[in-house]
Amino acid sequence: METLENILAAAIRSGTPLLFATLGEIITERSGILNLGLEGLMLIGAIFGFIAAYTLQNVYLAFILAMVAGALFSLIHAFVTISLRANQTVSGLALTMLGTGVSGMIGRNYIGQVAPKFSKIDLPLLSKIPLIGKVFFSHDVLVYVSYILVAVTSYFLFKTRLGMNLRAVGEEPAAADSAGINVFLTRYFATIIGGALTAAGGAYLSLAYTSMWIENMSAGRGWIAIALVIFSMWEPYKAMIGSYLFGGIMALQLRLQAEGKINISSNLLMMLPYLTTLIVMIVFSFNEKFRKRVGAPSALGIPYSREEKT
Amino acid sequence: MILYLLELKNITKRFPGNLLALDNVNFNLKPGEVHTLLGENGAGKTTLMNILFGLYKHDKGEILIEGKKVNITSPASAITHGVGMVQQHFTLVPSFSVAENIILGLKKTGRFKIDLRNVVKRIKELSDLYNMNIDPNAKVWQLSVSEKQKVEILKVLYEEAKIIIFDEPTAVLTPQESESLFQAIDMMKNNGKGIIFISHKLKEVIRVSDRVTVLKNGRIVGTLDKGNLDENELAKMMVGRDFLFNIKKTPANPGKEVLKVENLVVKNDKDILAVKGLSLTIREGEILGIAGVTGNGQRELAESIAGLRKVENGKIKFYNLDITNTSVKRRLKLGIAYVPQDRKETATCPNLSVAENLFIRQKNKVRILNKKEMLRNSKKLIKKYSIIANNEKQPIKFLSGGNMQKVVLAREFELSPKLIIVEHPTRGLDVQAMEFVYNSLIDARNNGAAILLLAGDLDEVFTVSDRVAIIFEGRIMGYVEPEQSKVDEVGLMMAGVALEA
Amino acid sequence: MLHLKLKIEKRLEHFKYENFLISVVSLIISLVIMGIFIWINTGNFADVVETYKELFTWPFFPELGLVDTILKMIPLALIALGLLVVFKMKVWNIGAEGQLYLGAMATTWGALFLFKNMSNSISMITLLLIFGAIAGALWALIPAILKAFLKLDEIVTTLMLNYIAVYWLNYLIYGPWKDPKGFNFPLTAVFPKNSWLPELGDTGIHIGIIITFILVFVTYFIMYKTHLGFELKIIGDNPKAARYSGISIEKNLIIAMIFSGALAGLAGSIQVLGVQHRLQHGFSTGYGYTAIIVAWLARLNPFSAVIVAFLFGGLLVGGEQLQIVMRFPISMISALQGLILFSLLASEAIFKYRIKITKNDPIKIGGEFNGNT
Repeated sequence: METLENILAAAIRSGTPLLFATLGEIITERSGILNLGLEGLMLIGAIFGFIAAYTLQNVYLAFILAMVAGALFSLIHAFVTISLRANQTVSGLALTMLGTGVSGMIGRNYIGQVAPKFSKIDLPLLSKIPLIGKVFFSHDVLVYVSYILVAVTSYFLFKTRLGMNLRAVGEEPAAADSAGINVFLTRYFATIIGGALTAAGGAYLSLAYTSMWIENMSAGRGWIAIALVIFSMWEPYKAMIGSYLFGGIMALQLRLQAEGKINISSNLLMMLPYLTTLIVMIVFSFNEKFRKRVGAPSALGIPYSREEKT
Repeated sequence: MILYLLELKNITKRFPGNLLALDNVNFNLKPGEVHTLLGENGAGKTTLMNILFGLYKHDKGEILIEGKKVNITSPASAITHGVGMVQQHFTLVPSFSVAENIILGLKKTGRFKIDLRNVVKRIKELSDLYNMNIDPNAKVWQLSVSEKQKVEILKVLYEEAKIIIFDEPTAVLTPQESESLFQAIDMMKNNGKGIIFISHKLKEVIRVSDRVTVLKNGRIVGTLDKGNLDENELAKMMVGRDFLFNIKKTPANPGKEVLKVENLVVKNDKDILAVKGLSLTIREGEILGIAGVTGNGQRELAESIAGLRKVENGKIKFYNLDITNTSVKRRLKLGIAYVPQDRKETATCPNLSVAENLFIRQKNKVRILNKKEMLRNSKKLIKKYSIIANNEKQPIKFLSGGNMQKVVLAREFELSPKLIIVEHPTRGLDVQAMEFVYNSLIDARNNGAAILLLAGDLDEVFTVSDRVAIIFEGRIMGYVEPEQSKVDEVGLMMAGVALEA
Repeated sequence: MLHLKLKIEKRLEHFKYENFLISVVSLIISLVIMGIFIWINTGNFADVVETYKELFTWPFFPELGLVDTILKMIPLALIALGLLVVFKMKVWNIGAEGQLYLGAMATTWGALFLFKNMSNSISMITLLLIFGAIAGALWALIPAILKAFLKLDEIVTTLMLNYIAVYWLNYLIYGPWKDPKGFNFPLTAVFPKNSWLPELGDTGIHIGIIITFILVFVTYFIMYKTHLGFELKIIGDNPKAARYSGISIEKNLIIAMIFSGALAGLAGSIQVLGVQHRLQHGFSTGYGYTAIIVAWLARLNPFSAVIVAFLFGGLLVGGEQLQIVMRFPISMISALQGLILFSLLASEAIFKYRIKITKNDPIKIGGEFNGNT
């Protein structure tokens, strides 16, 4: 019983960085912009968050600064793809390379250092519920923030005017444009918010999941988040389920490694999340809804230009 | 008392390449009138309206609304100034509901949270007032083409626009649907709105307008009042010469049966049946025109015969050979040519050169390319079809619509086809280019090819065809002779009314 | 009075040397930005000068790093050649790194176990190279099939396969294939001498370079002289037009991915047979990723790809040198690569427009244009 509780709680914790990044990418893609730079943005979030926490000794401020850094880096992607209408795939790859490189460069002096981290807060009453309490309500504050963020994102996308505009821009930019919505501004907004949330996911790694900086510590989570966006059919609540499932696999893998009870090489265990992603993609592809990409914004990846729309 | 609702003064607009799209254009509109902009394709009508609606920026000139100079920089500011536009290509989000589409971008329905209840009520009122019968909660992708247009109109009315632009609204309607649109326009006029109506169809212009201004090559030719409207006069002003096409059409002399379609069933992109048990035959030396409102299965019919779309049921026979669901390659070999409706999206590769585009569809593929021969051939074709391009190596995207279409036609005709499927061959072309296309089709027919012509425009079908079939919801409703007197009959069949033989 | 008006408009034609200029401009832009970054970071402009002096001299002089540069050029060029074929049809094979790993692993398997006693050096090497190419091709075939038949996005699948390949290799060299006499380092035993790629004289450069040059011509021929290359071009420009022309996108996708994977696998094979002579941890410094930029900067031209690969080989060697001399982190190279790619995208976009100064002069009237479509 206790083991199950621990594993599930660990699934939530290791799913949280995925959740932040997936939510961010859902917002970005809903506006029609594909940002494949998540891996780089997570690393940017992780290193800037870590440096800020180390220097300022304040994790909250550090977390916010990490998001600002993510927003600024995603601004490059926004400029290149929205204003210059360049290829979104290539720009995303460039962002990943840049993020990986820059985080490695500026993080070099911080390897082996320890910064303050978010501490665990048991939520009063809620954490006392059997099983559920331990699993869901006995975490650091960022996990609770991510719960709220799922609800907020969903409400924002489907119930508010701005969210409706954003979806319209991702579906039919020409229609949105002639309805008087600023397509460019909306896409900039979505890309920057998405970048900030992705960086938040990275900052979770260095400020809550651990309290240190390790080069390339995102270890492919950014790419997994891109797959999660597809699995979740661009819906925040489904993203939550997907993130925790993959978080669970990562947690399980770490646990098996740590216990050493099973005689499998750690290198083979480490393949697990990536292998699972592949297998889930394949299995999902036999589902008609998934194959037809239900929920995918129709204008995803297509640059918009008014003069050329004829 | 303000005399003019809208005044456009000395509007000038240049497009890249120094093309003068609009040259010192003046235009005005009174409340409660329909002022038509008449001109052929490329005359600058849509460009002028896109400027008024804030989609394009003009280089020179000013816009006055109710006597005050305004600066319209975007559709949003146009809407604030009371300008609404029912666009030629619908600007609706398919996955949204009617109500969501209507309030899209409007600020007065709540800045933050969306509350659709009042919106739905108001849409119902407007829909009833103008006899439109639209359910505000329906999703737009479920609607027919004419219903989508009604949503566009409701959107403009909901915005309480004072100036309403209709950009070629009847292109997608049956004659009967057009008439009910005109009635709605009359009502809007009587409610004090100013209507700008854009068209190149003379009959409907005379039916609906209070004043007509003719635009040609970006310049105003003249303005006529309701009392002076005359079809011939307008045609002369619009084209600059007598409107009659110079077409050498002789009576058809049909030979052997080329194409036989039996009980064809085909699905559209949304997996819904689009062609439902359709049968037809075409013989050598015959043009069969298909008339119908866009979206009644024409595209799916054409694509299934060309081999681009799966046939669910039924048979397609070519000289009695079953070619149902065979590959495009095989059909190319047999001599089936296809001119799709969207030359930019399907028929050409924008970044490839004119020469390469002349070469993408080949009867017999060679493994190793012979570039020299390819270039030599292209030069020949460019001359033969008088294609205007800098040279054969120019990317095709830099060519004008008419020349692009000539490239497509040249390529397909050079296959020496026995069957040619043509969809909307003259969309966006000027009169000279249209004439060229029609004559090329008739020449091919005279040389023994069987031609299936799918056009949106009744005039086109009547000009070129030897027989006319009317399509409605994926079935043939009946056949008529291509005579002008049959228009009403055709219109009824286009709307799905079966006629006694 | 003369009015001068500044206008930005779209170019209606490409001009000569456009591709070359775009690449050069973007390289310069990214070097300038990188220079500024170093300047800020170290606070010393002399460091910038020193860095670039090192970066531009060391890798390109024979007595210094030239041989190293050429050795790094070989895998970069090979992978890039494969990539430009798939990129031409706008398929994003990001999995070259994994395909490279598979090539190296298969070759190692052959060299250490399957054919270790082969006496004929030429047939052994040929066999091992083919082995590596096939392994890379098969690894690339997985995402190709998933894309062709299940419509799965190749970017995500190829990346997942990269991670799997990396851990697979790690598993082998930390586990079953570890050299018992290797002092517990993660590496295999040295391959039998028979399998080593011969050197060209005593230059220190193995015959992989000849294979590379042959493949440049092969790739050029495929892309520009065959109908297959023409079909890839059509698919890349407009898949709908390809279908309309009777071209099978699925078939071409699979052929192109196999070619691309085979070349990456071959690069892995050549790398272990020609340079390390064993399989070891970190045998690739991200060649599969760097080659993506090489292919793009070469504007998908096979001959340019070799030149760009040479420059990037130099960049990698220079980076290693800077690590020693200036104590720069190796991640600087990754950052610089990201910058180059961004500058490339930006200059590509900017070259589509031109700034025009117009006077108030008469302008030709009318002409056919397409305002209503």
